Amino acid sequence: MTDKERLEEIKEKYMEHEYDFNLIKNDINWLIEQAKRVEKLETQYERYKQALEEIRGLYPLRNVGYQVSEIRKIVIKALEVTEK
Amino acid sequence: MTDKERLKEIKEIYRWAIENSIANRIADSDIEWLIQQAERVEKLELEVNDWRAEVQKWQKFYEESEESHSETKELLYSTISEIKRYKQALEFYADPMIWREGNRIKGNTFEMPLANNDNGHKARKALEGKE
Repeated sequence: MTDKERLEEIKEKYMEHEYDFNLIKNDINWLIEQAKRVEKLETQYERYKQALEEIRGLYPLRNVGYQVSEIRKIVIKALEVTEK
Repeated sequence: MTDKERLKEIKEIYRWAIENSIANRIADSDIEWLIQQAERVEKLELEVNDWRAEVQKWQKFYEESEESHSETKELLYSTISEIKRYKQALEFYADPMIWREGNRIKGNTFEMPLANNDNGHKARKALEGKE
């Protein structure tokens, strides 16, 4: 079952039994895992966005050698954090 | 309350319910929020992939720039070394002393000018890339 299908199933279960809680422990655990993923993805999103803004701030390139080395630092930092 | 704090609170309540063997009852508003978060995952993953691809383009850019910089440096060193060889050869041929004859005696004969002995050897070596 894909994440999308599972979510649909949970939503249906939840809607059907509005006054009678019907979600099992695994459903709640899965939902919590998804919320954790959102947190992680948002951090990555911000990191990439910030890196690209920093690179944009280096333009126009005047001292190319220096600026390329700055781009290198920014990119490595952004991609390293993602791995963690 | 931030999303992070809210998730932490939900987890704590949920853990407490499990530890105390209480039914997994989580507030409806929390379940709805969790569902909303789960719905965001797919879209966020796509966005993050796009941003990562953009950062990776820059990674490629600096790698190519470094490669090109290294090739330029190599070419520069080779040109400097070439210039140095030509300069040394020119300095040798520019020295008037090597063209003079009869200024030294070897045995019963005048020694030939140094330029004669060289016969263009230094120039050829410099052009061939040898010191």
